[in-house]
Amino acid sequence: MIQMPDETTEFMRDYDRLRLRKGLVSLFWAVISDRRKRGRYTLQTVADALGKDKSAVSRWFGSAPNWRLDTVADIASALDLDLGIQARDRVTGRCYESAGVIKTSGMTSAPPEGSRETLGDPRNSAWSSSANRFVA
Amino acid sequence: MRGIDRAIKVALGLLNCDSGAGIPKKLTYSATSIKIGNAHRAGLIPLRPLRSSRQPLRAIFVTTQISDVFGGEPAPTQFSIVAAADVIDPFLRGELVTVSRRQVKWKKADQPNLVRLVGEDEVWEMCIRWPPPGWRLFGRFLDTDVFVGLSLHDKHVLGPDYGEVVGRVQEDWDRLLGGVAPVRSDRLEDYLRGVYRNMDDPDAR
Repeated sequence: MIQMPDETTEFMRDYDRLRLRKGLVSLFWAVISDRRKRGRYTLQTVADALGKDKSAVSRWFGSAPNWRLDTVADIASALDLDLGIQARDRVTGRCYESAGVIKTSGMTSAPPEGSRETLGDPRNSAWSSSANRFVA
Repeated sequence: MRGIDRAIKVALGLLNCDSGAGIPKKLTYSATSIKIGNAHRAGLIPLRPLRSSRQPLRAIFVTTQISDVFGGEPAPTQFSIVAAADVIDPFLRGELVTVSRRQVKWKKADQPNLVRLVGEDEVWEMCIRWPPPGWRLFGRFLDTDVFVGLSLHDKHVLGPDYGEVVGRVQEDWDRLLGGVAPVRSDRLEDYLRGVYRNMDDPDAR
């Protein structure tokens, strides 16, 4: 029997989707912006390399586009980038790449397993109490 | 430990000062950690990303009342925690923030997340634009990468005239952080590090 996702699951699913989309947008913008500082590099340069209209490329960096993986690869190619792929188990902290486990601990300064950031309920966890959302 | 997170922990006395030989290490109280200490003593609360795999690179301090709204307590109608996180969390993680120091009618695709109000003394709005017309968090920069949000409003209720809200932000700042000047600069780099897009720069659009 299929279990319908509860509100918390849906909430975190939406959040994680946006986080991934925005993370990719931010990554590519970081590259573009760094190259702009170092020399003549514009959104038009990126648009030309992708064969896209500049205004369409510009829109990407003001929103959270739901890119196909092919588009992500195309943008990386247009920017002459090798993308790294890495996953971190939120509970154990183990880190994986496509060739397997790369590190089991100390990879990040992330909160320990099962910590407040992983619990997710908007009303009684991450955003809701001083035990969750706050540094102190 | 990097930048803002260290500054917060120094300010709050959360770092272990023991050098390991029973000799306390000398902690460096940077200008940032002193300012953050002021924010903490004023009862302001630093937000954390909903999920984080590393320490925040920027900081947002808010009042208890505002942090309760972000936490869904009480959950106001027309307030989306996901939409709020979509603006707040990239800021905290040091990721892309779209920013402007002009108030113009933006095309939807170009609408910035962070806007400095024209003609006011350093009052900024952080724009949560969904569900339309969204919510606005008004505040000032305490330091580079440190935003203090003092007033949160439903744009339905707020309307186009920000005069009263702006006055209240300035009063609240003086009451809570009196004596500490907000960042005042012509250079965007004095407000933000990390990844940002200056929407006022035609080459960035």
